[in-house]
Amino acid sequence: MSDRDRGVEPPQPSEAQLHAVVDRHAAAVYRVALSIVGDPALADDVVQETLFKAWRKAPIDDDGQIPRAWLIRVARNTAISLLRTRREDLYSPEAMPESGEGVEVPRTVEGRAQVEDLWSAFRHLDADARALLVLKEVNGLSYDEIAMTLELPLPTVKTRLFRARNQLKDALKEWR
Amino acid sequence: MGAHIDSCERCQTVLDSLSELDERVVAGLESATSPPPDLFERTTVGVEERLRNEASAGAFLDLFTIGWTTVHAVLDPTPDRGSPHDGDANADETMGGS
Repeated sequence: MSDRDRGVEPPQPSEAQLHAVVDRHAAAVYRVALSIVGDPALADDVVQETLFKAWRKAPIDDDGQIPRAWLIRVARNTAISLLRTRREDLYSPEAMPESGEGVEVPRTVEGRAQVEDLWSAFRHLDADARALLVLKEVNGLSYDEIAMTLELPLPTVKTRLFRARNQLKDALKEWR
Repeated sequence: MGAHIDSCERCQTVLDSLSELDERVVAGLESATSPPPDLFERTTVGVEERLRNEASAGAFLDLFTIGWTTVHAVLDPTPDRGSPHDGDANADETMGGS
């Protein structure tokens, strides 16, 4: 039984341990958070809150790691909760990040405009649809992992993702 | 039809293949949701600061609790109700009264 299970306060993390958790999970948590709150500053808050909660009370799996499904679920719930209390307009495409983790953001006017169109279409989906798309298409989770993470039945995940993809495609018809 | 799709794995697989997103769309989503370059640094600093603040708040609370317990012990004229002796006496009284 761990200290957490016994209700004993866990020890403060060493710098290295904290860095490892952040390094492993922060980017995925950020993407999900941003897809829901739509604002980079709020997404930052969600990442910090999620990883703080993770350190305080996350379950530890057999490999001694914090389960990714648990983290993403906490991030999603934290983001939705934050959005309810601080409802603000989703951020404008001009505020989009200039560069990502090895992803080349289009530098041409046309490419940039396409990403802005995409973001505009994306932000009009509901929060769950946005999170589903990011989990599947960007974070690369399997359907089973998404179902476990969002605590939804597998068929529901598949049909919702199907609808979300089609909504996005419909909004981007001019790309074809 | 929606209900059928919800329960039919084969149809779900077909729909999945039909609805696959264009790779440009996926790349666009990756770009639009990409973390800022300093995410790692800001997150570690933020979490460490919160953990330190929490530890400081805990230490302050402990100091306050010790102070309060001391003042209470000095000023409270009632005997210590938690001592084994008093417990026995109460037990005797209870037994004697019944």
